[in-house]
Amino acid sequence: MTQFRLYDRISTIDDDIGTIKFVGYFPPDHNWKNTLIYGIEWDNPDRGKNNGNIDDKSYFKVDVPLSGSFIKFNNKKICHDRFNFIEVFIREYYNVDNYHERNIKFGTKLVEELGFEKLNRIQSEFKNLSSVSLNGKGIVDAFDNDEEAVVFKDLQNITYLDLSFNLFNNLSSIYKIISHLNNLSNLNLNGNKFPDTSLDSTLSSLNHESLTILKLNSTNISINQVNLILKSFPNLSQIHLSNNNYTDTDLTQLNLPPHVKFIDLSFNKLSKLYLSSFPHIETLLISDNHITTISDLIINKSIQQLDIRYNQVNEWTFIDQLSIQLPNLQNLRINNNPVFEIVGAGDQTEDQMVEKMFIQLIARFECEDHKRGKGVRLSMINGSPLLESEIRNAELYFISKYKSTINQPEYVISNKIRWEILLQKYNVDDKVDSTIHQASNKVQLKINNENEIFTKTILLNLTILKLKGIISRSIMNNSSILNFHIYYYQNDLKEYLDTNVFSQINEFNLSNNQTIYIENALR
Amino acid sequence: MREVISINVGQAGCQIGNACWELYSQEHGIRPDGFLQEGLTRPKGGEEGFSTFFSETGSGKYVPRALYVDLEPNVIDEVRTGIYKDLFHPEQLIAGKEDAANNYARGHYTIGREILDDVLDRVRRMADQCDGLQGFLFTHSLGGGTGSGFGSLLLEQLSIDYGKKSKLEFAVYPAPQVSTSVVEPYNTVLTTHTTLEHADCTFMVDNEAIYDMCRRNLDISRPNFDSLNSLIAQVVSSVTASLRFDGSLNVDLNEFQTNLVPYPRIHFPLVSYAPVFSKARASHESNSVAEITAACFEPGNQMVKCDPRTGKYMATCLLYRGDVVTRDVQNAVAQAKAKKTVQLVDWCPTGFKIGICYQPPTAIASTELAAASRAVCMLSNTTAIAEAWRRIDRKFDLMYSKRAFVHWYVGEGMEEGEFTEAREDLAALERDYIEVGTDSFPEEEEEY
Repeated sequence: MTQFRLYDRISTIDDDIGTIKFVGYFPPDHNWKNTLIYGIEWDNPDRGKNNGNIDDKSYFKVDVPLSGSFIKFNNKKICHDRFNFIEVFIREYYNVDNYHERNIKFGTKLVEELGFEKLNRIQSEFKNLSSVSLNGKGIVDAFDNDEEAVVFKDLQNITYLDLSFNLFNNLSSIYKIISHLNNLSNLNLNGNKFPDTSLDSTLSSLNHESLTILKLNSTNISINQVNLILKSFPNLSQIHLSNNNYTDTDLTQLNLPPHVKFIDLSFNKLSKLYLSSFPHIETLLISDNHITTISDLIINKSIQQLDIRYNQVNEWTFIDQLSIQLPNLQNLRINNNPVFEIVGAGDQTEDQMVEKMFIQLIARFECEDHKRGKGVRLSMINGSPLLESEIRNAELYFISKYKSTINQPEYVISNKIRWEILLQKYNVDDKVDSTIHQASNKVQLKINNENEIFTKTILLNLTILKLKGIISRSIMNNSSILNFHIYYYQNDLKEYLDTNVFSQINEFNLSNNQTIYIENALR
Repeated sequence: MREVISINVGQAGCQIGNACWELYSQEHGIRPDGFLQEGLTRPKGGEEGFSTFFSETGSGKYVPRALYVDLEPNVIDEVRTGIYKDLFHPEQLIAGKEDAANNYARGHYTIGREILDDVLDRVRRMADQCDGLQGFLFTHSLGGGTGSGFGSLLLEQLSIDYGKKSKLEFAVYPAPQVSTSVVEPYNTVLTTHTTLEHADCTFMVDNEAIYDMCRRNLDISRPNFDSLNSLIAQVVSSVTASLRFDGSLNVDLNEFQTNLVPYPRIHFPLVSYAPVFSKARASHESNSVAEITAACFEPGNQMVKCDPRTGKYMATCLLYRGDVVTRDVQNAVAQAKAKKTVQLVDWCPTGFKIGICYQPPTAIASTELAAASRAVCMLSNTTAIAEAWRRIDRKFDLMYSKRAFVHWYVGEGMEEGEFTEAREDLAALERDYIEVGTDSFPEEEEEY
């Protein structure tokens, strides 16, 4: 049975992973006394029961509330086998002789396995391997002695290595592996944990030139360590740091070298967008944080792709600010922010909300057709490529909305330059069109039927015949329109409306709330 | 040398064809102008597999064995002026002048007939360049005029001219979300009736299912045809991967049918594909073999909306590609078996196959779909897919009971009897599915 130490990573037979945060004994009055106890912080918080405390006594601290629990050292669910990288690699990939069909049966049908033998043959020849995936295999360390390391001689063609969700807890084992893989370009370390205790300044001696993509999601790696790691990879262009509990203060310490062009900071705890932290980044993924504001006024010309989905953006000025501060943005994802729910308020379908969001974004950014454009302006919004006609439609719609509503924040652009460009493009002024309000195409009429007053809104281009029809149906119990006349008073003169029933309502000088009287013709 | 000629018919067919050939050429390391990418001496994927889909010219240029046919010039003009204009020989792009106006009858009888000889001629010339033609791969929509009308006409002719060659179809099943015309149910029923005997195996792709996947998995709030087609292309590529690369399963088109088609009419396997996730989310997915296998059995990853729990499986193929090890696959399948209640018909003894292709999937830079180091595509012939036919039949009946829009078809010289005939054929197909789903030994009835 393995004796675990502090910060060891352990796995269970039902595939949960945790970190040992406490090794010791409970006080003598506890019924688990005299048994070695492990305090564990689980990667999956649902697996936890407490915050590392029992009977008001705290034994260890957890990062995520209620993700801790205690187990006895002989808990049957813990996997006690500890593997190293070389062992697991050989077990998984070197199968040249021991292939046998598993004879799995689906109902009455035997599962036929085709080409498995051939695949085994190819993979067992290690020189053929360019991609090795050993995710979730319970690997703890690199290798035990240098004899094992001879295997690496044949692994020089590996470019992709996936070591995600293993039980590594320090970077030096990782460095031990990759220092032998000279052509590795893509390394996935998601789901291992690298607490600061593994920080070792001697690590910076490694210089790995071929690595370009490094994934460190859900590793709780500190920014200090990240800064240190970055020194070892002079050609790294992509770094993934999502779900690492970073806060705004952490991010200010991040020091990105110019060769890193892509950074993923999604699922962290950031509340501000620090554009000055990313002077050379071209792709910034910062979705699923709590971002509400932009922290500085710097113009960032490098960012071309921004993913800021699922944040807390709730002001239009934020979006206008983005369009000012990111002049070279080409691809934007910003759906699922509260600001768009405001536009979509009311009982609208999802499609209508999406449509409104698109109009808002197209109006606030300078966009171009994704195929015909020059590739310098925004051409992808929320995953959909833009077309020239859509852009035109949205922009015109926005302007018309601006003109017909008075200072509604959702139709005001605070980015003055953009607003000017928009107005110039369609050669319109920015005066709110007051005539639109007057030249309404409908009129509200009060219809007086023997001193009973009904209010009706009527379209002005209807004929009197239609108007009488409406009155007949809604007020006169479907009595024939020949049974009554309608009239109104113009300058105190009684004037019949239905002398010619085919004349249009707007030929008369009817104003809003004008009273129309009904006269029974039979009387 | 087992060549396959791809024929893309109609707007949908040609656009999907574009997306597919873009993907194929990237997977094989071919530049948009038809020459090899820098640093390559031979196309990726092995000579044998590669030559099934591409032919090599004397100048070292590679040309797809593909034919684009449309009755109106717009879409083909896009190919002619697009990035991939140099990949194709002008002879491969055939465009008429007058479109089929979403009318099966125009595509099948009037307008379509005019260019049929020309198209057959080009097919003949392409077939002559092949050493041992395996068969044809059709891409077309069921709802449009050209895709349904001309597609079925061409398929009929090919089955006369090339009797024994396999004819596989990728058919786009119409969906209300991205519908272009009201007569889609008519076209679908008519073309299915015509091609039922001529196509050997039809993979249906339901636009509604793809649309939902784009929304749900790729988080594209407003999917358009480009988004849909790039996803469809990835699926088509997965199915054809075993033909194009040294694979293990279905290296022959004929074997597709032998594996999947127990009766000639029951030739509509359900396709599922995993993983589907967007580039921005790619690094969060652990994407293990077990996960993608389990995902394949989820209705959300199916290309046609139907509930497989309501039906029975007759045959299933799991096609893995990319970085997988045999042990993981075995474990994943054993797990999937334990978790899922998969009902199988009792009269078919075998029919569950797993194949592996070593080549990983490729992602196109301009699309949202992320590259995965491995993917799996499941083809299963299940009786649940009859649901799709029931759906379209109901829509057909709604309109046809009032003879709505029928005059458009009659006006092009079609007889009204063909509507009834087609509808009856589809009803028979529905019955066929019920019949193959019933057990040959009736269950014990309760008796007192």
